[in-house]
Amino acid sequence: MNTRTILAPANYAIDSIRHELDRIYDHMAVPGLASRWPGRVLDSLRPHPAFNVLEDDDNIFIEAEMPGVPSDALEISASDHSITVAGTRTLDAPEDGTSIRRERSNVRFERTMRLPVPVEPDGIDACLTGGVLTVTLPKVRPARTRRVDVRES
Amino acid sequence: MTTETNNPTCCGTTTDSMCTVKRPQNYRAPVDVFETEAGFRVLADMPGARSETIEISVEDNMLTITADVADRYDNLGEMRFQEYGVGDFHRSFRIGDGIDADGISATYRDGVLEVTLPKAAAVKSRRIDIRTD
Repeated sequence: MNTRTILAPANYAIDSIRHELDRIYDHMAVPGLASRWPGRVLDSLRPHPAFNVLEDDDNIFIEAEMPGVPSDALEISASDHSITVAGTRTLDAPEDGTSIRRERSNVRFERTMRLPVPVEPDGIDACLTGGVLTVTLPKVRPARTRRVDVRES
Repeated sequence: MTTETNNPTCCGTTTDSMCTVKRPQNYRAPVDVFETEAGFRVLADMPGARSETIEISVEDNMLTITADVADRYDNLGEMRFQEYGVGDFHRSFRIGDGIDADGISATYRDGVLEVTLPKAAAVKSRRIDIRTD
């Protein structure tokens, strides 16, 4: 049986609009930042981080780029219907150096996303590799129903 | 070192064959640049790269850093919602003669590339004591 869910677009649409507004705000809040490149804001980590969401039959995957964030600076919490990714990036500047160019920022970030299908909070796995966070959220398996044929005798 | 060149790899150029490969985007990595007494430090956000795919080259007074980022979505089902693109990273800087190119070193940790460029001996500022007779 194919249990793949078409993710409810409304949730994502609202989240996406909020993300875009936050992104615009982030953009204004950092003077002098203007990406000349389409599709990508200059700073790769913002107060409202970007997510890529994927899905297969059994899991929802949420991926976010977190360059410069060690795993102990990340806090992930989840319920059966939402996930929150929060954390802090603290950049270390050389003590004796002068800054010539700053495009990366110290940032406290947090984002909560509502999930379109219930997941098993106990089964959630989070992995940070090369600055990329991948959270695997196993879907709640639907209760199995079985049709029973009635015999005639 | 302070002059940055915009080296368009895809957008706006028509001759670049990179436009036709599977990942058309070639992203500009955000950087911080610091100057110290001993040299320069460049910190570049390049999440999703692997250290063996990062290349740092100096040619004609241009420092170029590139990182190939593999498509990591093969085993993760179908994309439902995409807010950022995944692609290779690229950045170039013009550097003067004052860099000791042989002494350049780099580390990659938590998705951040750190390149250390030592100053050539001739340009290190020297403190000159004034003698008083």
